[in-house]
Amino acid sequence: MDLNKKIEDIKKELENDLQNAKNGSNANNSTLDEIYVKYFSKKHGVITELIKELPKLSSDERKEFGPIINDLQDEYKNRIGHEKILQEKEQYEDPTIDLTMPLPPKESGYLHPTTQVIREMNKFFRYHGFSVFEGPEVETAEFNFRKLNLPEDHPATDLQDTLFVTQPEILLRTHTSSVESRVLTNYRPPIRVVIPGKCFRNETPNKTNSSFFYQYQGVVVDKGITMKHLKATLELVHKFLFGEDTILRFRYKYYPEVSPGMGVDMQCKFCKGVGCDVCKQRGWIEMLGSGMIHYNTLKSCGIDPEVYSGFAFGMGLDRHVMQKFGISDIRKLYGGGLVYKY
Amino acid sequence: MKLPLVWLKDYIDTKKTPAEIADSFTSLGLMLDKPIENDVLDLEHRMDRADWLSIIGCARDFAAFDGTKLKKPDGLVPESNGQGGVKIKIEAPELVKRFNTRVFRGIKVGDSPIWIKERLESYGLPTINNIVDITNFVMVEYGQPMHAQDLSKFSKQEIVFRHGKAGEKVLTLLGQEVAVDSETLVMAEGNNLIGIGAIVGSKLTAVDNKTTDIILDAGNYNQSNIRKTSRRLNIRNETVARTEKFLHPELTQIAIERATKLILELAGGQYFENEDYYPNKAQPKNMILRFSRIKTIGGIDVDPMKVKDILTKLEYKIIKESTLELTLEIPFFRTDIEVEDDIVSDILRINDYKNIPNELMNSASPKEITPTLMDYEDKIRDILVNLGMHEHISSPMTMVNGNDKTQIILENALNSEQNALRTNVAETLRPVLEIYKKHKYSVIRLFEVGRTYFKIGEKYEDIKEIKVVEGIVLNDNGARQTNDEVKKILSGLFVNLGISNVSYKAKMENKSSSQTNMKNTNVVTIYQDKLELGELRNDGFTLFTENLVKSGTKKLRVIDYIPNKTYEDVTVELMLNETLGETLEKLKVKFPKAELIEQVDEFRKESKRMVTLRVYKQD
Repeated sequence: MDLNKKIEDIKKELENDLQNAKNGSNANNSTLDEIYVKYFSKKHGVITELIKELPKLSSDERKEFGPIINDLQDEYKNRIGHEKILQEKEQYEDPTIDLTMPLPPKESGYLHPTTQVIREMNKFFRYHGFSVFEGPEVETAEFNFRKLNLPEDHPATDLQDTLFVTQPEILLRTHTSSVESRVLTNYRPPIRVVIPGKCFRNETPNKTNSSFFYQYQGVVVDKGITMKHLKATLELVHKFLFGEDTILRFRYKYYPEVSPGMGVDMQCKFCKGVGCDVCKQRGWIEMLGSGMIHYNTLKSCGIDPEVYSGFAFGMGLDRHVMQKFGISDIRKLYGGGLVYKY
Repeated sequence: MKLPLVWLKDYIDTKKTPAEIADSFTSLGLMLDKPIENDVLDLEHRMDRADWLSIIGCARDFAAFDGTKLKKPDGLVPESNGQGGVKIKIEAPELVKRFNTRVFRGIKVGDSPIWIKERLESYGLPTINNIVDITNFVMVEYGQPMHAQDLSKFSKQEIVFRHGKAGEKVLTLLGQEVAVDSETLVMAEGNNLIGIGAIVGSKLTAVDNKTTDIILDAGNYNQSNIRKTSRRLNIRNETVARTEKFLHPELTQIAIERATKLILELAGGQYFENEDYYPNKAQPKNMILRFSRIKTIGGIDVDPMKVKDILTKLEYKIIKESTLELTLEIPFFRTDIEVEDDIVSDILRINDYKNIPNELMNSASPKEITPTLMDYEDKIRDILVNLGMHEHISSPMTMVNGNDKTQIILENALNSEQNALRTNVAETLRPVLEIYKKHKYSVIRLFEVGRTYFKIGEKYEDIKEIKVVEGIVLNDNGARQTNDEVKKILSGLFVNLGISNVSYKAKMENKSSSQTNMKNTNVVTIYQDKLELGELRNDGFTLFTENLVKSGTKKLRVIDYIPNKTYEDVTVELMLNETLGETLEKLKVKFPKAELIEQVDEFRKESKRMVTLRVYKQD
């Protein structure tokens, strides 16, 4: 019968196509894909067309050819799939490949060490409900000094320390506290922010001090915030950064923008507090400055210090970054000699 | 502040070891700065506490912290023998708040006793003679600088304080000649300058072994002027370290009494009251401390008895008390006490911070206010890193470029190589490229996420900080390979940011008046419609982050069918100085379904470029 012959022809042609795909110099997937499309595409596939003819047949013919055509479809769909797997196997199983011989890594980029540390810290603080904030690096004396309870006569405002664009009002911010005063001025409590950022001082650069450096500041203002919360937050972040066995020491330290002020030291992990070269025989390493935000600072930023209280802390990031990555000179950290090795 | 333990123990009894004493000082606010050597503590002094520049000031806080008693020296002296007769004339009243003097006659100058020598030497001061040593001793003991001069060396029995004059010089005690100016407070007698006020005395009137009659002074000055003057003249000494802080004028009297007692004991002679210039007597300051404030700030209750004990030991006077609050007279030497919380600080630190328990914040997190731009910058960093670029951070400080009127110049930079802010990141990032070259990298891809700084006027509002992403690439196979690398990275960044419909236009440049506007093909501007996203160079790019955020973005196209892909080749003819950018724009209009346009061939002949472009289209 006509249909029988047609099926046989299709089979032959298909076998032939498959053979070609197997032997042909361009025996690749696309050829098998093309075969698939040729026979099974929804619009014009040869076998698809055959299936489309079925309803036109008499019920007897349908009973006879229906299963045959279905089998044909199943068989060759499977065959093509099988061939593809075999081909792929062949492709990846080249016997000349030696799996035990490694190659140099595929090139990829790295983040700057400071960015990596900032991210690690941001991750911690965002988890604890802090927003990350930023502000201008060219600042006014108002936000950099006055709002932070640093009177004009304070030694920190001296020419030696501050880089001025226009004396005495326009300057490069000397600390990230300038952003604190902006946040406190522009937002209402509850406030929880951290501020990573560049700071500038008028110093002759050496190994450990640069006129350009990074600070990381934290600010919290709400009803009922006390030193208990400050201590707990700092303890938590240090354990996050330096491990659960971290031991901290909290002591009074004066900073003009806070009262009371608090210095935080970490027991030296190398000597366990006995004193060694790493901690300069102190047994402790100074980590950061902090304290309860000064009454006058809150007031000058328009927050009622009788209703709200808050804490702030600020730390230099560079020393931490340098220690973590084994960099000995801050000048190299920022544009002067780092390369990232794979 | 150097603190010899032998001296400290004159005022307190303690059984603690030097290390334990240092620990107590560290906790209460005077951190041990260097290892203990020869029983001398080197404590870090912060700027606020002028009284911590004295042994007694340190001892007082230690006694309060340690629960011991402070033993102050007895300052009782006999009656004076009348008036000294040296006139004091203050012609710069804005710079001198108090000038307290006494005259001694018939003294015998000689060596100091061992106990004074031992204390001064362990502190680090040289011993000169008993009179000079006593002034130094009292300065370190109480924190009040003092000064003694030989009256026989005066041409006129008078001390004048006035502004210096141009051309005048002071011969200092160390024998240096220092030129003064009109901002400098000088001490004069007759025609001679006998000191720079509150900074250094002069050799002209110095006490020596033949001296019998002296005038002793203890003054209080405008500390701001003193600090500025000492920095300007570059004179740093023990006197300045104290007079530039906020000393209280009342301290001069205590110091004078103490020095008088020591002089009479160690050098003999008689003393005479002399003028005490003190026109505006400072009044004691009263403040109220609410007990509740201790809890508001510290989070803990401190027993009112303990509060009163701490305050009394720190020499606050309790004027009035109730169950809720104390009215206090602030000790005169505590010039640092500004607000009630400063008193709270005193209580909490003497009570020891370690007695404040940790407690995590338990209130709900406030609204997130992280600026979109910051997260966006982080996204850019991640994409560029994934595209194989290394992130670097370079100092934004650079050298003054006289030609750039928009550059922000720093007025007082110490470093002449870093006396301005960058107007482009490439100039500070490029040195990093040089480092990579030295390391023999064959392909270098660097980027920085940073800011550039401009000013368009003199006001603060005229200063602009622009956030940019700067990329620099070097492929040592050549310029074309370098540029291909740049373009691929940029396209990759745009795809990942969802920025499409980007076009590149050559910048118009006004090269000189004789030429018409020229196209600068080394720098092209990157646009999305009219929005300027940045610029592309042969070996890098600059993107304006704020405009990237503003640009129209679309989601990455994800399709779930296999499209019919076709292409068509189009050949365009260009003049040699023309760029392809405009042609591409036209092609995009002609083929709205174009998915990708690629250059497949280029042929140059004389002044023409024949470029074949392949336009890929899909259903």
